[in-house]
Amino acid sequence: MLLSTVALAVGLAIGVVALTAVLRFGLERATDDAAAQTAGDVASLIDEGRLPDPIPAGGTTLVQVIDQQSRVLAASAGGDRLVPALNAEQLSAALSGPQTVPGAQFGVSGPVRTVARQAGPPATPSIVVVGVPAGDIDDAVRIARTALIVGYAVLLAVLAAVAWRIVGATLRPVEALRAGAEKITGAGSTDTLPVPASGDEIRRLADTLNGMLGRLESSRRRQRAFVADAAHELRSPLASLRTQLDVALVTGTDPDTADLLAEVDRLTGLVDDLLILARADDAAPPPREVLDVAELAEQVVLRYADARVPVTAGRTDNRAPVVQANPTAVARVLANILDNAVRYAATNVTLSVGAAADGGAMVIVTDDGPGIPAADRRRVFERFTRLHDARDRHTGGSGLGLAIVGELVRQQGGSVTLDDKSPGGEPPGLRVEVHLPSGCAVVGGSPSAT
Amino acid sequence: MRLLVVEDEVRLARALQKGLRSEGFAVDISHDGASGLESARVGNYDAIVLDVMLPRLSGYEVVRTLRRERNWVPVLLLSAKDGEYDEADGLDVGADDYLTKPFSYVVLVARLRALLRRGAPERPAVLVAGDLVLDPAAKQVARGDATISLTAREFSLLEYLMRRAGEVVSRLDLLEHVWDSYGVSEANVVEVYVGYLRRKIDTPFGRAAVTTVRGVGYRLETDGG
Repeated sequence: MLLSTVALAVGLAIGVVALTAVLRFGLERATDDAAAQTAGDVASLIDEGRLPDPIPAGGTTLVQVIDQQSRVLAASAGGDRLVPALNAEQLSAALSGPQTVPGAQFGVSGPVRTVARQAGPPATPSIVVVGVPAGDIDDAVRIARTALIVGYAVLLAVLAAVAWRIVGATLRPVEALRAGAEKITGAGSTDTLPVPASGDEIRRLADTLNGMLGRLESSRRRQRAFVADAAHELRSPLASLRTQLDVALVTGTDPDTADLLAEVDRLTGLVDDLLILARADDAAPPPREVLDVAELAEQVVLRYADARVPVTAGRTDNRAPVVQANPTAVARVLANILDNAVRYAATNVTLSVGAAADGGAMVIVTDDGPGIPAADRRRVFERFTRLHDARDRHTGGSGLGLAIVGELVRQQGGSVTLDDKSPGGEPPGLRVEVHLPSGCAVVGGSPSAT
Repeated sequence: MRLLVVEDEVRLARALQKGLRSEGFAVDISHDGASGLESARVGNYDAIVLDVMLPRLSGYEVVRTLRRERNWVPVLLLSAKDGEYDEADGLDVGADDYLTKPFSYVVLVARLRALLRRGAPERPAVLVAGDLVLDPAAKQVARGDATISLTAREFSLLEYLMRRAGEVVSRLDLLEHVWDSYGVSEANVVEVYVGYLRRKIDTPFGRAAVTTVRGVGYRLETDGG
């Protein structure tokens, strides 16, 4: 803003200088032309031998005709008849071009522009000296310069004011945005930036930034809710541990080591789950390798030999689907799904592996438990969701199992689908389908409910 | 002294039972809200330790149901939630104390003793006189299904009268308990406010819950007039 005003001022100053220079040049040229014209006229009169005395000259023009000995032969009405107006040096300079000399030499005030030229027969040459008072030129230039400077100063002020207003009006919404952004502390505020009423780029910028703030806020809120939930979940085993130890201390008896260990196991499991989820939130997925899904599934199922209901593994076809995936993640996914199935199944759980239509693998786990109502199938993939609010911890788990399944499968580029095992049946049971793509995963898949 | 512990965490419940027994209490255990409520109804317990997050019926619901059934057994709530509103809600539904998990067992026992000292007099969370109902926590008054809007002063006056329903309460008593020391400028302020109150809780319903006992004071009829 200041810079543009300064640039404008410099430009205008250069303009003033240039204009006055041109004006002075033009006026001097006109004067010189007039003087040369007069000198030419007088010279032709001399050549013709008809030089009158006094020499007729218009207006303020002064004319002297002098001979080689610097004697004045003739002069115009106002000219000096005895003393030549120019000394020898000035004369020779004037002969080569127009000169400015002090007016006192011509008996007038102000500077005088003079020209001189040879005239008469070569034997007795004479010199015509014409002087035109140039005080008018200085006056005219001075007046013009003053007018220009004053005019330009006013113009400059007006332009600066206009520019100030225009730039200010354009930038005011930006300043409002800046002030709004400064007010946003990030500490629990749900502030948004002020959106200007206009429909221009700044409004779109404000809308975009507000959208970003909204997304950040909702992500922050989810994170905070997750941390609060995690803290609550950690409290229960801690409370149990503390009470068992307190009671042992107060009663002077030994605590039940198996009970303490069970609580420690629960805490460990919960912390492990939280860590898995925290890592799943990070960008970098675990390394993948070529994985025989059927083989891995059989290994996982072996761990359920002592489960409360029998878990059987099978294959839907003879092909052994091979995928690019992280074995630890896939094993965790299958174990979590089986844990869930075993927890709710009435009599049995089955797991079968087959090839998917796209060459990937399809793992299907079914149980004959109460199933999950269609309306809740998306919710169970959220963290700390327990259906029925049945916080029966012997059966309820941490509430993170299916959330981990969803995250890990998404990370492997696959998808999870929940469905009734026997639609319309009572109970309907649950059928979990995990689809793992064969090759390099397409990131962005998500658990889906049908 | 007989205690009921309603707690779905089996190992925590077992440890509590063991500890409380060593203190000389007789301790029964329930693992979910519904069976806890059933035990509380039939067993003549001196106090109940009640978890808030229970399967089948939450601790809040258990307390609310007991109080609605005019069962005034002292209840100590245990909760993993430590929000101030969680605690306030627990106390407002009628519990007598609230501990956040993880808690100190020593403090739990001390608080249980304090509860047992106070015994189990009627201390309803919601005051009832016939069809006239006043909820101090929700600041609500209703006559039957009709909600009645009272000013803060009228509300305090009615609350005080309802807490001593059936008794004659003197004007001086009301002045001392409903008005603060500097608020009274008129000698007949009690009469004026009783008038306001009657116009809201009695006149529109054709009832007379507040009776004037000449020369003594006022009485709120236990049947709501």
